[in-house]
Amino acid sequence: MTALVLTLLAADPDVGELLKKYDEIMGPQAFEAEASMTATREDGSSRTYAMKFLKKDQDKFRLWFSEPSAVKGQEMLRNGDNLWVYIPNLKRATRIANRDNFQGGDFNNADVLRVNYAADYDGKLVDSGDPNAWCVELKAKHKETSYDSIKLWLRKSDYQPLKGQYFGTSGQMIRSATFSDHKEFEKGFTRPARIVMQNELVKTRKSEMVTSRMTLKVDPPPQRFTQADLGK
Amino acid sequence: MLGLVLIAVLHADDPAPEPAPEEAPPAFKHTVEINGYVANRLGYGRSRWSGLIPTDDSPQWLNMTELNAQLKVGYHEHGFVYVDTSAIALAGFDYRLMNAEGFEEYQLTRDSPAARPLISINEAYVLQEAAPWLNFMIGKKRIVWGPGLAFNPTDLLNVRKDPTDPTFQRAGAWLARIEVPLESSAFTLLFAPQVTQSAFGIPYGFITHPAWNKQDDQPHYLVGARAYFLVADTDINVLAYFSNKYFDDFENKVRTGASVSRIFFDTWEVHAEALLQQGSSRTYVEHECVADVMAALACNQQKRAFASRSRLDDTTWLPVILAGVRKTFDDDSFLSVEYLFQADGYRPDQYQDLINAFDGINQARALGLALPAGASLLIPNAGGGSDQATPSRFSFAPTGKHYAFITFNKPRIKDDFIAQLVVLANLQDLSTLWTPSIAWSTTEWLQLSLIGFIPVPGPDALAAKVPSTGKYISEYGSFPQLFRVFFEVRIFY
Repeated sequence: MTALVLTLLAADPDVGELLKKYDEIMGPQAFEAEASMTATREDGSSRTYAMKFLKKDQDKFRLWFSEPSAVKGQEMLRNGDNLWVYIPNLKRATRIANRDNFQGGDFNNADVLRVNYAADYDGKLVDSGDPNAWCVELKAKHKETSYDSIKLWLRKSDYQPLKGQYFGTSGQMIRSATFSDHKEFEKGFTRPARIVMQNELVKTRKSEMVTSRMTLKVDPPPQRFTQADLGK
Repeated sequence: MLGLVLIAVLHADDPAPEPAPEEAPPAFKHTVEINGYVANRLGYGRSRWSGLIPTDDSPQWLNMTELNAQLKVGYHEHGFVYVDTSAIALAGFDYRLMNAEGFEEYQLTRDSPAARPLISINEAYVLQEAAPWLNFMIGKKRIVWGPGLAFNPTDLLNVRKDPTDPTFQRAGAWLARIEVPLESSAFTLLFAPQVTQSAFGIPYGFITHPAWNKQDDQPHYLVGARAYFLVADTDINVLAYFSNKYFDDFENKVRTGASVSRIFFDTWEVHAEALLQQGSSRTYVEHECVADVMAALACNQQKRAFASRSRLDDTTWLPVILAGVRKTFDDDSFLSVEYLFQADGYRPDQYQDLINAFDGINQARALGLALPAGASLLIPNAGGGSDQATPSRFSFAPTGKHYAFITFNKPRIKDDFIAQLVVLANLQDLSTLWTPSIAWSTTEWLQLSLIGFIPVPGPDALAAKVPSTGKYISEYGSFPQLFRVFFEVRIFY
């Protein structure tokens, strides 16, 4: 009996289930979080942005910047496939694209505002090179995704993401990510508190996103995710 | 998958966890946020003292110091007060004007409106949510519904933005608003009374003029309604306005508008915005009064107005339409191209009449004669709605029918240097205004900017001719400065 259980446990999981687990960890159904992003540029200088996130359902996302002062009051909104940015000095929302870079850093807008791999990608398991991790190779289902393909390593023990490689349509690796400091933000909910996105085209560039607070105990009204709510 | 099933089976006999005790939501705490900036802008512009537009009140050297504070106080879980205000000190030197003999005259200082201090209340309002689907707002706020970047034809409320830097003008309009936001639509109703009395930018009279300054007996206000829909990944706004003497001469006027905005092919943002109105409050010059000197004298003798708002009651539909596209590239640079059509704009022959009238006014001034009837209507102003606002670097008051706005912005050309070029083009006379700029965010709190303004006349064949001098003149060729340069230091806090 024990041998049977171990055999079954060692069997490869369903890729769809893995992606669902990834989405549950990186983009839970509803949450509020505070994070900072430090973008390091070619010359070694860096800029740090502080922000607050709010998410509801699979495709509704709000983001408010609070630091530095030059971007305070700037907001972003995702609703379905639509993204807007609200610039306080412009006093209105402007549409932006999923593939635009997020605050000029090495994440793009969809990396931050669109965590929905189960819906956006088809995947297959490939050799991970690590007995403790699964590796999933993902291929974009449609054009709204950030990347044409992704290789994602997930820890076997708890499905936590460990690293990722992100490829453009030419097949060239554009970025790579390491997920670390896995932290239990709430009882029963653990996710990486630190994500470092390395720019693989300009090796001296990278961006680090550190989540300091995260709660799943939120139920924002749908109006919070409408264009009319921006800059209110 | 099988592994997951097995884990579930193996845990099936675990006792059900005790339900967690319901946590009380955290008590609301008042929040106070403050930020803003201190900016100093030093500019030099070589006056076109011999041009058609008088430069008497335009100093060649202008220094502006602005202290801006933005305060947000959350007094309730669903309500807040927001104030964005600037105290502005201006100093102007080196005025160049044309003297009675037609030569350049130099004055070090003058009491010019361009150099008086002011307080600009950009926004000051209270917003309270009665429910997620219903909120109320009262105060001064800049509300822009249209997606146009350089210009918003449907914006009848606010001071016009500066198309060479749309982020520069933040001043809104005094109004009361009710909004019903729903999941993929929103409905807005607002009432905006015109400020009729103010001192140093602080209003103390609305709607009607006071008895001691009875400019008219009319109420001055605007009522606006907006319905917004998100349909097929497209932002759609449908607008309706009813106004009476609200920063223009229209009485009991109904205007409608609409806008759309959508992303195509991943990175192309396409938008259009239109205002539909009957008639126009634009001032037109009476051709028969400016055809030549004799015609002008005859009109003056008959006390016929040289200029009037002759299409105020015209029932012809005269739309103002803006359409544009913005493409963002992989390096975060973007290119924006917009086209503006104004049905009530001047045709080339009407622009020639306008130049003739300006020339006539200058001639009359030089001879010490009284200005002809209607001349005051031709004195340019910033246009748009609202009252006191931040002094603009460039006031856009388009006179023609066809314009193009082209903006190219390239961030991080080196370190945190941002290069930008904005070109405004009058497509009728092909005169242009080029505004190159470079901004350097030296740190997260300090930004240095260098901005230039270079008006370029169009070809003579498309230009109007000044009757008294025979010189050709196009819209941006008549800019009161030959060029301008600004250097700005902005410290954010």
